[in-house]
Amino acid sequence: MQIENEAIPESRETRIAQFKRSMKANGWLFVTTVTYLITLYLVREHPEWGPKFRVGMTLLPILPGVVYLRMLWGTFKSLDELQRRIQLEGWAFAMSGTVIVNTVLNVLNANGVGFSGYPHGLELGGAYICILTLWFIGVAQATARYR
Amino acid sequence: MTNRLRELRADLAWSQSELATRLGVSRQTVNAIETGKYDPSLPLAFKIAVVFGKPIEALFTPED
Repeated sequence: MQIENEAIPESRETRIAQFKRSMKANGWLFVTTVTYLITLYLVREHPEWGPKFRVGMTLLPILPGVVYLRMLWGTFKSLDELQRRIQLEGWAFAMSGTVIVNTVLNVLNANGVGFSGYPHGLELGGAYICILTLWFIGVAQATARYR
Repeated sequence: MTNRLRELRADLAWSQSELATRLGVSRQTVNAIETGKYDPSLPLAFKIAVVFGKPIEALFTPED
């Protein structure tokens, strides 16, 4: 009988199922990344390609990316309500934090005291890294709050 | 909101995992509800009431 409040891990089967789902999703993320790197290389190495073909090649990584996002969405929908709330709190923290960081960088740049590494704010790559970092922190915070 | 989940679960000698399985949620969710850190949604609250065979007001009490 378990009535106390000690931390008991989820069952082995649950953890294995979560791990498999996570690996499948991460597999598509890997495919997306590899496709991106290959198309990046090919487009750079073949300046003779026509503009339409170059656009097609450049956008090719979006296809596995969409599959990855669909898997993420499916995972999100399969979570129970507390886990969904934790994820939403993590995303809210990440999004609002990224807006604040980007705004601070832009205001500093506008006033001529910006960081030399970010003359145009975070830009796309920086925003992704910022969102991911803050998402980890947000989810960790929310998980600790409900523990 | 306070609740009697832990007390009723103890009466039935169920573990948190067992109750979580019956409710279709994670054990962490059951724990968070029991410790008052998380208030369940209305559908989950009704499900809890059904699992324990009691009216919802016998399980949850709003805090003043």
